[in-house]
Amino acid sequence: MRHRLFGFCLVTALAAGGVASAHHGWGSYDAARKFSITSPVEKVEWQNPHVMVVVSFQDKPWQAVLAPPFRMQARGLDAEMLKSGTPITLEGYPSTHSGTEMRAERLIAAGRTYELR
Amino acid sequence: MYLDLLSALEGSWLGHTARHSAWTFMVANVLHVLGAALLVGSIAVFDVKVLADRGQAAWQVGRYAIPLAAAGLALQVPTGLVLLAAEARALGVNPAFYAKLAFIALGLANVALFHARFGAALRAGILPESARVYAGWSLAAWVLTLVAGRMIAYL
Repeated sequence: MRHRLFGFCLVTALAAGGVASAHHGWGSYDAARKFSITSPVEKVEWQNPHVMVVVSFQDKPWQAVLAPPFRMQARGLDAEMLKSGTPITLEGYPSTHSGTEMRAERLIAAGRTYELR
Repeated sequence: MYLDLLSALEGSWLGHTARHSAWTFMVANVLHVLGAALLVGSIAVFDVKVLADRGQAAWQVGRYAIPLAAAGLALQVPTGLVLLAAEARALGVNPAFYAKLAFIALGLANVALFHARFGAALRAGILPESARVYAGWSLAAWVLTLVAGRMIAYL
């Protein structure tokens, strides 16, 4: 009885996931399509659960999801280093849900590489 | 109404702090995992004791497991609010979050009914075998609450 209920709920949750608009987590980014963006920072939102920057890619504004602020700090990054206009390179994966969103696993700023994963 | 509530929570001082303080969010996150471990772990031990021994000597486990589970729940509510407040409008309409709330409601209703019906018998050491069905629902409800909660990040 309990096992059937568990199975039912898990299947329901997974099915619901297929139609849900996703948010964060590596699962909703296409790991097979790694690419990079080099652009000045247009906007930064230094906040939990993940720091987000807007950059320009193929003449469109892209949202790039970075690491949580705590990890950013631990890896040596702060909000001041990503302020608007700063040229950066992001390596990451495109969202499977949004055409203009990526999750960055690596950030290069001022000649230094920061691992965000 | 519900969406207004989520917006208000996200726009509140708590939401602002959760988003902009690295420490607040990190500490809430860590304690939410600890609370989940205490709540689900302790209650699972008690439920299995009731199920396996058909209610016999359940209080010998319950006297430790139930307060620990309650402590876990007491941690979950405030830390969960902080985590939710950071992006309440997005998280509040996540299907896994709805599922989680439903399982919490089921778990709490089960606790209330169990204690109303068997509280005295439990403490007197004479929990009847018919309490097993509550143990079954409890185990399912709290495990599924944890699963649904973790799934929020993936849906």
